[in-house]
Amino acid sequence: MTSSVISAARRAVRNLRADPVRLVNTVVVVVALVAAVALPLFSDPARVGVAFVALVYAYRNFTWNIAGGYCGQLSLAHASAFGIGAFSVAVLTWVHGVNPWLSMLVGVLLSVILGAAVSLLMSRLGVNAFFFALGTLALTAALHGVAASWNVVGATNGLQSTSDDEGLLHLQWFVDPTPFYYLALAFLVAVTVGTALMLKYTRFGRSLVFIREDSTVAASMGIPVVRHQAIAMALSMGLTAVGGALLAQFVQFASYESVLTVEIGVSMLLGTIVGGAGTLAGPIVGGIGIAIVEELLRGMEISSSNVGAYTQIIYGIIVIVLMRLGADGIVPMWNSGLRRLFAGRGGAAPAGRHRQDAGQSGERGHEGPARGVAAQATEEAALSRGRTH
Amino acid sequence: MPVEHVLQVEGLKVRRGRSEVVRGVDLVVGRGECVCLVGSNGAGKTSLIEGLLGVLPARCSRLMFDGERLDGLPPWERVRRGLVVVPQERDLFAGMTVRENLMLGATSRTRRRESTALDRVFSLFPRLKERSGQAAGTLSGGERTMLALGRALMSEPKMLVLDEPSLGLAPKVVGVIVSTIVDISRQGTTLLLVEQNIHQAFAVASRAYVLEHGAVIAEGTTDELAGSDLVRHGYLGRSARGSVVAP
Amino acid sequence: MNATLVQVTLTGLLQGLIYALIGLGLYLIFNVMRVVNFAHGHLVLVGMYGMLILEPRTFGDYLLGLVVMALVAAAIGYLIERFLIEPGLARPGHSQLVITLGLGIVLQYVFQVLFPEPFESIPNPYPWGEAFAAFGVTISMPRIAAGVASLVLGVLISILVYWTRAGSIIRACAESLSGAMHVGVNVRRTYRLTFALGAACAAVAGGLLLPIQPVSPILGLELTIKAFVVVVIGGSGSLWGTAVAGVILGVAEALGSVYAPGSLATSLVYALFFLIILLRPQGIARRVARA
Repeated sequence: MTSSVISAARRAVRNLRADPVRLVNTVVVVVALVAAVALPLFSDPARVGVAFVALVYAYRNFTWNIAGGYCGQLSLAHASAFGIGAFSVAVLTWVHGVNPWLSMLVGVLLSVILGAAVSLLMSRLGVNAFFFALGTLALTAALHGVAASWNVVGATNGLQSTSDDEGLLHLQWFVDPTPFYYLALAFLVAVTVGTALMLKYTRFGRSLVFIREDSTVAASMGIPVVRHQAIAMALSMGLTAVGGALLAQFVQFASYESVLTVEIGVSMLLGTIVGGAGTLAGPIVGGIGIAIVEELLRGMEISSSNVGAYTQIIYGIIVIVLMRLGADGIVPMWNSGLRRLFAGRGGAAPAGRHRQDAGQSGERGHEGPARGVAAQATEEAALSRGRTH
Repeated sequence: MPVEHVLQVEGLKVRRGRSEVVRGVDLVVGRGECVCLVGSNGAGKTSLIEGLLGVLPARCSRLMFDGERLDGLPPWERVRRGLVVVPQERDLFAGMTVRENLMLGATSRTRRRESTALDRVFSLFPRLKERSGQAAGTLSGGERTMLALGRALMSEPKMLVLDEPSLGLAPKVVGVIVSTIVDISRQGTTLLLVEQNIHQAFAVASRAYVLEHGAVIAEGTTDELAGSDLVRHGYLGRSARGSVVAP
Repeated sequence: MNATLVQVTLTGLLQGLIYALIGLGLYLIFNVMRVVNFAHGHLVLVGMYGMLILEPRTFGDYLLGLVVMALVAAAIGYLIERFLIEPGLARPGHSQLVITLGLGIVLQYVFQVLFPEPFESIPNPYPWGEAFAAFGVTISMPRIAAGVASLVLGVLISILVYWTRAGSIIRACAESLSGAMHVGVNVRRTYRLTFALGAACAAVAGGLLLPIQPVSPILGLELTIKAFVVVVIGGSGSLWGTAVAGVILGVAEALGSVYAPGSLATSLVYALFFLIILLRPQGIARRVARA
């Protein structure tokens, strides 16, 4: 048992040394983790609170990315999941005294069901990507309007937390946001590691990239496309709900305008794309980036109501520029920059290998062997259909 | 060659996706000639045409059309210069009437007189005149091909390229189409005919290029090639063994 | 009670005609270019905010303002198409979806920063009185004028599309892009002009809307969705489909607001749209899929 662990460790170290890009990225991730864990020790509670919100942004971008970046389902319904998570806690815990973890679970379940339902309905009825985006947009907008008129979720006034309980069991800390911060960090790390393992070691996870690239080819490879898309959406939405619940507990307030808006949904999409959709680190970088930009803007003494607006404008422009240039986002650009840097030294990773270890910034599925296989398969399918060329 | 060239291509390479489907082809078409391009399924014939039009990414050392360079021009500009292609899929405007389709064919005319051109097309294809108010999508296969041909003729092209005009048509209709093509050629239009079926192609054309795997494996007059081993042994699908007949 | 129902229906009908004009612009863009323009509603905002800035005091000013907005929006549309959308069309993937989404967000928040006061409007610019009353029904003059103007513009655009040579080129591109290219249509130029025309429609509709409906940045997404409702319900048939669809939307929304509070009525519209997407994407989806 020990010898197999040692040999696995030896193999890992060997792999790292052979690939300088991965080495650099590993170092970056380790440093970032250490810094993240140490942050509250060197910051005042206000800053920790801001950092917590940054982690929530990163977290929800990441969960969106599971369906959006990896599976290619550009969904604007995730804002609904976020809102459902927040409102579950608001309604069940604040109004009815249910334990917040249970309420969160309810929120997660509702979001899972919603995600699966939306995906299955859209797939069965042959809705393509554009209408998927449009339909999920309409869905979120509809739920937004319903929440505004539904007294159960506070209608236009929203709901406020009145509970006095504190502690992990009650998911509530009043004076010091540090526990919230560590909780969010724990969730983020857990979800990242889990996703990385899932992508690499489960059939479901490995199939996602193929589905994104070309669902027809994926189907011909024997992948149950509809089912996997539904699982991706369900999983992704369910996990997003956790973010909504956490934020609601922290802010102690939830309303239709604060947790269930189309703008939140668009922000998840754009933020992830800026960071790099289809990578592990991309959405995290994108999410933390939003918080950093907001802090910078606040530092420049821009009024608080405009800070959010300016951030969105900046992110929107970045996305437009990225798309226009055909670029992939911060993390993929970082990776290709590193690769170019090390290419001359003969340390470039062999093209065939394409592993995504836990905590590593994975490469965009696009550039891996998956893309080549999918493209080749498409070509052969086209030729076999007898097109006269 | 003493005949003036309408089309002169040298070293044409066309890419479809990641693969190179036309690998260095030289082609000339003289004014008033009817030249055919034959080859089996997948030989690269349609890709070659799409490369000429500029629809697919293509490279060549020379691409002259009626004395002008075509490389760098967008596809519609090449059409306006007189290089008119009738694609395999016909690409008709299904929801619009026969007449509207034909009038759109005249988009690139420099001289306005569409009505003269229309009369000419109707005299060539009386069936189209009968159905001039009908939606193009409701036509039969043969009528569709006629409409596509007629639409292409509306602009009085300098060179007309037909990509498998008899594809998917009943034998009787094929006969009509082929004889119409012969008429068009006799009226002086320069033709480049792309065909899988050698017999049809050789019935109409005076010269031929044989394409396989993206390269020209034989070229010459149809008389020469008709008697060659290549054609006699029926080369479809099988790679040529030995005899490559040089012009 | 009956008179109120008639009043509400008429109001909805007139509002629906404005929706039809907005949808018409999107219909052109969508059918010719297969582009899903998530920023279309924000182009309407351009017209609304533009008119707000111009602050027309006389009817003449107002008309001039509409013309100016149409031209400005056409220019903006041309630039958007040329520099943002066109380069991405050849590339696989959904970059134009993301680009227009990003563009919409940028526009929304730019307006929010520039116009921190929500819900601004302009007074009735029409010289024919404040309202029109007959048979127990009273409708404000700007609303009538806007509805009629939208209808007239719709008719003019129909004439353009169905009776002119330029229109037949637009229709040809909508039918078969490849076919259009094969007959020598300058597809690139058609794209740019179509997008410009679509943007102009949106902006003029916005200018017509301003005296009736106070403007606010969040209207952008709402109007985008409504424009798509019109296009999807209207189907890929003729332009008149969008007119009918717009009226249906307007009336449904108006009747809905009688029986349900404001946001719920709109939510119902969105939910209905979701169902429509599920149940009849055929013609539209096939068209987009072919792109």
